[in-house]
Amino acid sequence: MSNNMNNNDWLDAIKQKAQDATREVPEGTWEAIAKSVGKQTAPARQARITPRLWRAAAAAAVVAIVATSGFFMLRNRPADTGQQIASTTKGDENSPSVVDDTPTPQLPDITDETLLAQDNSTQPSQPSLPPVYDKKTRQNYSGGVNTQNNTVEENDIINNELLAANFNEIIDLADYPNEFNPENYYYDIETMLALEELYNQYDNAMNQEAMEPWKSYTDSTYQQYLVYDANARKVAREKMALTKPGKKTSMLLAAYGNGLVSTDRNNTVSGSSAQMMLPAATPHQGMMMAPGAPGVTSNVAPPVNYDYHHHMPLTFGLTFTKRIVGNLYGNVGLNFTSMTSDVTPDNGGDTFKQDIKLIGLPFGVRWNFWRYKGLTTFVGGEGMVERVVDASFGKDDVTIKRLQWSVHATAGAQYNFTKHVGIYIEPKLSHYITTMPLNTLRNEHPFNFNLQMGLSIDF
Amino acid sequence: MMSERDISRGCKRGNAKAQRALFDRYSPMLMAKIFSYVGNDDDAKDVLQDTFIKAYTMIDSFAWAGDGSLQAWLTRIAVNTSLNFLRSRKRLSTFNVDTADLDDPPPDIVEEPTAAEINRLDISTILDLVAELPDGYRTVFNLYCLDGYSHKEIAEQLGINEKSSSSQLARAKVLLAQKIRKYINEHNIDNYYEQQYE
Repeated sequence: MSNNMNNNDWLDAIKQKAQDATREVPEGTWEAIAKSVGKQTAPARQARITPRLWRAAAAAAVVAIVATSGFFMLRNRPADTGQQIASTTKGDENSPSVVDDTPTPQLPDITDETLLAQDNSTQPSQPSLPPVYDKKTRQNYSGGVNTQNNTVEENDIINNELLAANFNEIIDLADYPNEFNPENYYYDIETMLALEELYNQYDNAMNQEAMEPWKSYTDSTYQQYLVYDANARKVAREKMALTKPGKKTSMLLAAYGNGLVSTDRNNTVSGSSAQMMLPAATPHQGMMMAPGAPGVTSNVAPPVNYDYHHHMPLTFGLTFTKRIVGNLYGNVGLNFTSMTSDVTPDNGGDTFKQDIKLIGLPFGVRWNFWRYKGLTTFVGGEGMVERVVDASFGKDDVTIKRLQWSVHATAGAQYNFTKHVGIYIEPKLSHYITTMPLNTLRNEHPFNFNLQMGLSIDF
Repeated sequence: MMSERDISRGCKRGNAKAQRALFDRYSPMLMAKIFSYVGNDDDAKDVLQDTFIKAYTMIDSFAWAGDGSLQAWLTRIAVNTSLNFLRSRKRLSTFNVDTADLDDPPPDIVEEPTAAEINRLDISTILDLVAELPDGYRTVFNLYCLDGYSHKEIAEQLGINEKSSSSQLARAKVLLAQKIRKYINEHNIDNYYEQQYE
């Protein structure tokens, strides 16, 4: 034996060679590791960096959608509604139009000459301004005030009073039976709004009293209401006294009880900013006058009602889902909805379009209760607030500030192609809590069932 | 090509690309290391998977200490995982390391290979021969000769006393020397190289 066991050179040689030793890794090893790592670590760790990418992509997508929508909306809107109305009144066939075959809903001209020449008994009714949607009766009433300077909400307030006047006794009318001429009149909008506020207080007090009949809530509010109304009438009479000789015949009409309207006949309306012209269109008269009121019934024309054919609302949106805990996920998104309707007046006028575009912010939670591979089923609840970004009634632009709130119950399924991207189908039961001033499918059916499909991005 | 530091940073962020780079760079080395402990490719593959999964999940505990520190950290994980594997298979326990292998009659003393003869062998051949050692012998041999553990550390690691570790190593050396000598003789390695260099 030439070597003794204390000679470790051969062991050092093995150690030296072993330091650089490699061995072929069997196929599929990485795939198995990646699969396990994906389950055990990847989601939590990747969440640290991928949300930035997804957020950036989501932000870019939202900006692109909003910008594109805004661009097309602005591009397709008439540049000047006032010019459009004027031109259509003159019968200009070349006026810009969103829908070429849509007849022009015509605003009545408010000049003195037109008013004087107007024959209310023979003038065909035209769809003039957005009809008033009455929440109580769920009907639409034509008419309204000149909306060029007012929002729908302001018009809504006034027209609600007009409706109330139409349905209730006009108390003071008997005092001025011979002076009433509804061809034209103006409203003092500030007075109207103040009276509206007082009336609302009175109305609330009445409701409260109905619930608690042993208490009296109405006396003080009603007294305030009467005092303010008396002052309003006094102011209106003083204004009338300042009109030009020969044209200062005037009247004041006030109705209250369930509503109020004050009118002042004045042919020499100056257009003061404190006054708001009511167009002397025939439909308004029908709303103004109480049925059977002395001296006015002969001038009353029936109000124009509209038939609506609502098209299927189209909604585009992005929803972002984030796990809160366990199988509970939170989601928030951004929606763009377009609702169009074909509107046909019942007086034989041509059909025109009503178009409403809304931006919505949905937010809610969902619970994934079953999962198999890429398929997930879930139930959830959602709230959404929407704001009208563009609305038109025929060729008239309409400003709507009122927010539309809604709640939704959902149940659906989602199939993920990748870890973050999937498609989903989501039957949804919706309830629209608030109504829009313009009549829409949602107004007519506050509860509805719809089916939503789309692309889901999870992160 | 990502540096070792970039790989460790990427893995800490959960970057899939860095995780793949870690695997690509170190898996062949770790496969050889694990094979030398567990003794067959099938088990080595399983242990290799567990090693990387542990590495990815425990990467936050790794502290960068210069080039080579990541490889050393991975090697420690691989060795510990291999030992755990052997224990789980009941192939390595205090008893069978301490007594079972030692109860075997001591192998006959043979002429040890020289460093020159070892250098003429392929490392995979050597590891295959190491793999043929009984689990207890192989484990102590790997820990002491290849990974530089002391008998005290081996004793703590395996739950045996130092004397047992030393005895195991002595027997492992003799047995491995026999196997290498036999391989050299059977494959006529010396003659082969002499023929190659003539």
